[in-house]
Amino acid sequence: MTRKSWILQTLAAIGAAGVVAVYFLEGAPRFWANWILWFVFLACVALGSLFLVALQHITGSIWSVPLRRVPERVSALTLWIIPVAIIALFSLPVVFSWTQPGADKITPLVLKAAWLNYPFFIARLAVCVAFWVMSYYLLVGRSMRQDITKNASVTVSLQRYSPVFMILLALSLTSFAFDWISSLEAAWYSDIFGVYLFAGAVTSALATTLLVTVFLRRRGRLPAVTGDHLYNLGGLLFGFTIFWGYIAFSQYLLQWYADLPEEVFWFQQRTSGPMKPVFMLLLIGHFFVPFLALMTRKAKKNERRLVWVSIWVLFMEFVDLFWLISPILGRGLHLGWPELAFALFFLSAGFLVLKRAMSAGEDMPVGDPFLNAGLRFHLQ
Amino acid sequence: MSEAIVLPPELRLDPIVEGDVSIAGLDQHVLELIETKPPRSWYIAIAITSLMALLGFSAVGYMISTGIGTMGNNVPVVWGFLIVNFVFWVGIGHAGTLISVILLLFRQRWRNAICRIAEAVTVFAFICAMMFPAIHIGRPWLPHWLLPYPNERDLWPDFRSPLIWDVFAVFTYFSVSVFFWYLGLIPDFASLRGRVKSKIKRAIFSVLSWGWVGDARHWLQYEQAYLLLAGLTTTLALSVHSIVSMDFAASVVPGWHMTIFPPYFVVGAAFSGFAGVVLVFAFVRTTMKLENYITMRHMDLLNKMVLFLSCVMAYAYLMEGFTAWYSSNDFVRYIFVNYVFGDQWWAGCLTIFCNCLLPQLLWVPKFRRSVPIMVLVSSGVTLGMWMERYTIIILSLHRDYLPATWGIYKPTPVDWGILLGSIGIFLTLLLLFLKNIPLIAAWEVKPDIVQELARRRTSARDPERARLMETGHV
Amino acid sequence: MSEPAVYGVLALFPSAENLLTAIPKLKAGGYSEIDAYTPYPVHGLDEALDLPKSKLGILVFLMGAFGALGAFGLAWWTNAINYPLLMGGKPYNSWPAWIPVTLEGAIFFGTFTAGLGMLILFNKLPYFGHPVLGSEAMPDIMRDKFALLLKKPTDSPFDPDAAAKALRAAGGDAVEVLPEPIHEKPGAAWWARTIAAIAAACLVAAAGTVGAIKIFPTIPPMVNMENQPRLDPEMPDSFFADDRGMRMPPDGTVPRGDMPILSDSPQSGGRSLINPLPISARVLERGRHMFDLHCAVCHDRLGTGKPWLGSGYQAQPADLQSSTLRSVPDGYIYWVISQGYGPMPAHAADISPDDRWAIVRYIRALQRSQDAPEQDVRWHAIGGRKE
Repeated sequence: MTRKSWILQTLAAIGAAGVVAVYFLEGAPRFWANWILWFVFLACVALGSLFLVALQHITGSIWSVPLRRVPERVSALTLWIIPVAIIALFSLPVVFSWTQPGADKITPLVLKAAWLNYPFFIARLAVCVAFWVMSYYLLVGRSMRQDITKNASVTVSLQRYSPVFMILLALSLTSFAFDWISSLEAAWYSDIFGVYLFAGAVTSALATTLLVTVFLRRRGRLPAVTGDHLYNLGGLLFGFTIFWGYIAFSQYLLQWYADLPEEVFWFQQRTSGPMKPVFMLLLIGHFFVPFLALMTRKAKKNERRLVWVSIWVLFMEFVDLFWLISPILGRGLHLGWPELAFALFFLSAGFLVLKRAMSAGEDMPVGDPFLNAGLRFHLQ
Repeated sequence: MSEAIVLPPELRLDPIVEGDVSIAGLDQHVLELIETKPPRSWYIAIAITSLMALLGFSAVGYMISTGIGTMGNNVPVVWGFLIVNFVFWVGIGHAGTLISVILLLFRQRWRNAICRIAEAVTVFAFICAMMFPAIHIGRPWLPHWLLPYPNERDLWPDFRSPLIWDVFAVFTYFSVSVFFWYLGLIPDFASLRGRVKSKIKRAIFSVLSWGWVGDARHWLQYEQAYLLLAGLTTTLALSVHSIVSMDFAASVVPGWHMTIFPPYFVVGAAFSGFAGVVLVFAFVRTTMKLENYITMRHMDLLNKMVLFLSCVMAYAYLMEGFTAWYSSNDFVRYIFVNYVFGDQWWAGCLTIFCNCLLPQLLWVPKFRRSVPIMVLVSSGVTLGMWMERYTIIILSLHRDYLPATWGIYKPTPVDWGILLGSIGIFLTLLLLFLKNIPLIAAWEVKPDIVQELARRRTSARDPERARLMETGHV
Repeated sequence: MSEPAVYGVLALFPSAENLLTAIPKLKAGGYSEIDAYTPYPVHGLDEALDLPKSKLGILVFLMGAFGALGAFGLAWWTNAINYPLLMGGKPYNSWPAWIPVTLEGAIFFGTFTAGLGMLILFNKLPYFGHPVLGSEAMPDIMRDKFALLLKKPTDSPFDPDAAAKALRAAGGDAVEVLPEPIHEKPGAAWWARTIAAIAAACLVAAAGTVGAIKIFPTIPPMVNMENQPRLDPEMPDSFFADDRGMRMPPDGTVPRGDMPILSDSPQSGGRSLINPLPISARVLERGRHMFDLHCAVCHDRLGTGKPWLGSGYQAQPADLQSSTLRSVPDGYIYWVISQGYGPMPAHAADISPDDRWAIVRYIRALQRSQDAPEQDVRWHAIGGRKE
């Protein structure tokens, strides 16, 4: 264990050195584009996991009780949003189109100035992050304490808080998506964009949950979790893959069809030239591959397949964010050693955080009154 | 594992069947409705609804023989009541599928008692919905021109047109929901086959049930088919209202071109559909004495769905309003202001009030189980969703890019007659269904009854063990 | 007819649990062909009876893929290949626009394959000759009883009494011995009856069709706006005060492309109007044609003013070969054709301006032909070459 964390720490250190090198060798825009990408990716996985936790409370589903600790632990990443977000704020004057000199002469940007200005933008981020961190403590912290108190009324209050959390999460995630991706090119707009990011967040959180579950199960730490539980998780991943495809296609089709200059320029940057292969990869990889790979009943119980599909889905979520963000750097495929350095840093740091989180509390929510019922779950 | 945890009352779930139930009783109750003469009130009700339907048919006949000018359509507002009604009924028609199919995929057993009626609502709402494009195409005797068949004109339909997608989507959805409904009925028809006295009826049910014998091999295939159909129909239900929304969203009309339209229309459809189903159940539960099968827990869950969907609708409205502003496009900004402050401000305001504010009453658990409140909320939602389509279609069209082409829409008696007629058709079909077709999927509810009776036996014999069973300790 | 062969022995059980416990006992008793009949699907029966997993999913997937490809192909072939139309500035092969129809195609084929494939292919329904269908126990099975059937194997002996005993021992009651279904081949009489019935139906349909056509006039049901209310020329219409359907244009209306002649006499016309046409073979040919049509009847083909109508015709048409008319300008003649002169009517309404000018050119040619100087004759004699 310690040796592995030593390796991870070394990798993270190398990655950090690379990240700093990017800033000085490749210039600030490249650095900030990557930073924002990983910031959004981190938020997606963390908030998607919080969403999964709240989803279980809100639906009162029983099968997922034994698995709940996995997304609860993954959502520990929420706390790390704070430093990453604070650093990301320094990117505002560099890569955001509405902060550039001359933005006050471009009509659509001037009309949006009431929304896109420094104080309001920073206030929105602060409120969102504060809400997320607070929700993490309310949803996950109390659930962890229930392990010891075994107080069933905690479950009741979690079920009460979850709808409120869901409503506020919808609003905060939408504002986050509009601010940190859409407003990079502030002339563009699409009102489905918040839902688009939400779909990606839930898919990546589900993939992470699946990976961690299988990992813990192989270690013998979740012995009572059966193939039927995995089947349900796989089913959800399958469902949200379709949902993502549906949302992505709706957005693409409608803007492609209407062909309005203020909308379609955004897609033109992302579907032609060097970005075209990325677009095709996204179409096939983010939708068709998981869709076909998880179609049968058998596949959803197959641990091996679930693992590679989950890794693939996470990679595709990265490609999706790359496809959304990197075109702000201008025409061309901005892929090279800087991206590798960022991946190295954030992945190894993320693994370190997850590794520490995996030792917090019990492996299953032992205080939950429905744990036994959940363990008895089997498909009919 | 560990000692039993005492469940607080909030976490306790009511059983999905209540009261004095038994398998034979269910058959007696549900299947015998078909063999007995309905009460006088049924005849009175169907007389009224048929008259409404007749009024609608007369209005349609008058409109076709005289011309489109008899309706309120005019040049900026080329899509009037007919399209409003179409979208409205398609929306109502989504509830059945979503209740029956999505809940089946999520293995929610409480759906079993309500799926049959919900699917019936779907089928009848779709019959109403399909009437509207058919009479709206201008020459209703040439609907086959919409189909891609080799013809003497050497022309094909334009597959780039969202309206053609609509033809395919609505046709597929209607045929599939009728088929799905019928498949679910086969075992119940087989039950009826053995019960009915009249020879002719027996022959009819015999043919309708395909000679179903309940072989375990057949059930295996049947359940597989049911599950596959459920998966496919879920996708279908999502796609159909998305495609209906693209009739609007693929255009460049301000207020129509919104990328959120596809999911937002699907949610709106489910919302109005759930409200419609709650209304139907609130009425059917007591008149048909189904309280033991469609319990207050069912109504509570349905009302929770209404509340949830209302919140999603509020999100969609918020996003639309925000993006209208954020788009910084003068026309889009204007049209959204016009929805709530324009000539017909009441349409936009009523939409927001009925769809976003009124359902918030359902946060109170007591209200979710109160019939008057749920009738009030569901009627409000039904009205609100109709007003929403009115707002989207008519209020977006009547303000064009050029003030010179602005107009105003005034519905005529023919418009109202057709709307009333569609309600009459729907209710007439519903009444005929309640009399002639098993209105609860008996074969799906029977295992629930068996389970509930077993639970009661255990709890009478050994209450401690029953309590442990609740949390899965035994 | 002898005693019918035995199909199997059926017994009823009160609950699904009884059924599941009875099956292993019967299997242990050496009965391998066991069927179960239940009012609703019972989980666990598939394992107890070793039923194979359903293959329906594969079929549905294949048919769904077929539907998707078919719908996509239809949209692509009709709109991009067979009859490419440019609509809304979209490319011929607008693949994003084919997706909705593709999805519907997949779902349509998938759903109907799932339902009909289950019923017809896998369950071999409809089948109304099933022995269990005719059994006494059928209504009970459809209500709340669970039945097991020990089928008579094809290749080994079967004792119905022993089977009944085994079923009772396993907890079943209401035991029933079911006879083998009788499959008789239809005889000649059946065929004769069927053919006669079909023939009779055809005859009735034919007679009915003929009768319907004879009795009812053939009315086109929809005329697609072929008949519309309108006013034909010369029809009265009470809408106007003077009851005339045809209306005069308002005073001073000028038809497009037809400038009126503003000069008020042939003399002033001759001063102001200039022939716009060139002197060419085409113009002269056109002029000759129009002159022969409109003018020659009074002025003679050569313009001598001797009408073809003979002496009964009282008017004196002008002699176009007269020296007066030879000396007037083109505009003068044009004015006279347009406005008339003395008894000569105006021809502005029936001869277009260009044709009038062409006639003028032709009249000039006529005049020269009747009064040619010598060099013209010589020029003509040498074949039109210049000297």
